[in-house]
Amino acid sequence: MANWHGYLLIRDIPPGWDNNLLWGNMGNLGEHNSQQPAENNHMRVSLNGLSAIIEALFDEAEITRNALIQFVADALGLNPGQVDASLNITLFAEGGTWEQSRQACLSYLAANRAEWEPVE
Amino acid sequence: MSEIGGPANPVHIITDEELLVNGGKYVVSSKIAIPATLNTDEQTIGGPAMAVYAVTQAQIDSGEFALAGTTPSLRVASKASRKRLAGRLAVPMLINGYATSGYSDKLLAIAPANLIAYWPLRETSGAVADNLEGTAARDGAYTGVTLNSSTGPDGKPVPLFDGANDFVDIYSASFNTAFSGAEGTVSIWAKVSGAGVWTDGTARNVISIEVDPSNVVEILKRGGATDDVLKFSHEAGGTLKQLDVTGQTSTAWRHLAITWSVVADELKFYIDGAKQGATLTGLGTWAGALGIVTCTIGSEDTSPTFPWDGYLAHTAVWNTPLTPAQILALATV
Repeated sequence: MANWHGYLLIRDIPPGWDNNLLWGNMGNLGEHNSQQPAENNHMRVSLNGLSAIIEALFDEAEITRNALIQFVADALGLNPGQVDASLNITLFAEGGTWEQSRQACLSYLAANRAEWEPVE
Repeated sequence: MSEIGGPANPVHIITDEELLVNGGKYVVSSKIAIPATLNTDEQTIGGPAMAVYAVTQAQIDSGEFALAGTTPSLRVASKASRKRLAGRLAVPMLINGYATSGYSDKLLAIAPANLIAYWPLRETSGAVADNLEGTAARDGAYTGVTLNSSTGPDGKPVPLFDGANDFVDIYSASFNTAFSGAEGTVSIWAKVSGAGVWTDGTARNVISIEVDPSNVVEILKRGGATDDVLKFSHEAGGTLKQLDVTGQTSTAWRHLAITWSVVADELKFYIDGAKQGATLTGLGTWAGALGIVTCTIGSEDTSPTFPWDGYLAHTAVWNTPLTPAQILALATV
């Protein structure tokens, strides 16, 4: 199986979903035991708690849309079809280098600063 | 081990104090001060504070290493020492797993009785940011950084903070006990990942040591419309004292420092050893315990809010205000 090191965005989950439960489960994706901290799963949650950016060295099979839908459905006890209708996923520079993914993630953050940064 | 020992090819034991980096080449300085006990017990010079390297004569003869200055009085390792080195030679070799540098030695010698933490941030693997001051309970914890991504002002490895979700958590109960919001110094080296960081509109923290929003010491790059600004601040009991240094464009390593003293009623800010602005007075009264999630290098907190985009190195904290001369020394590699 192939691995990919990059940034995954789950954006604007429905308010009815248990975001704390979901983000806690999303923390199980990807690598956890690398000696390089950048490769281990680490997450940043948006100010309203409804979006999260997860960076890790992922198994590509676990971050396909279908795999993520099933993952979220299992985590929240929802029907996969229900999840599919609401799940907004972005893999920044999917398949590209980590630096390409990082730059795409930074561009997204810059364009959506109010969702992620408080007023200084 | 016989192939590297003996009169024809002696092994030299070199401490980190004598191993410098110059023009990409390891250089053995003339400052050789190896304890006389080395030849009988090399363990006495090992350990985190004094790493030991083994360099063969052939490596020096080939130019892989060079001898700087006058010929140093290199010692030839004893037979016992060579036995311990057998099979582990590398260039350079770390016997006890951690190398200090000349800069680290200098920093450790500045007001050592008042140094409460020093994170060089030059690990090449793992999640622990070693506190070279020596108190293991004050080790930091890496989240997300790319270790060994570039080289610092002293040529040693440094981590990249990605600007998205990386930081080093430096909170510990031990650090909280040792830290003083009334008397202290923060010293750190910072470098942006590119010139565009100065105009990206995003606030980015170099370091934050915070009880709550009314009691905090921090250095950050401002966000918003006028963002090419380094902001230094000390807020105690809600009394905010700060300085904005505008017009930042440099992509080079910069040394940043803050010193504060309630006793002297002085707050000073430095860039590259030069004092910035006037000495501020009227400091407030620091109150409260440090926040568990608000003592971080490379962000404002562990969320992380305002993540740094670039490199950081040699972060140190004292519980006394260092002098301008000491700050200048820290700003000089």
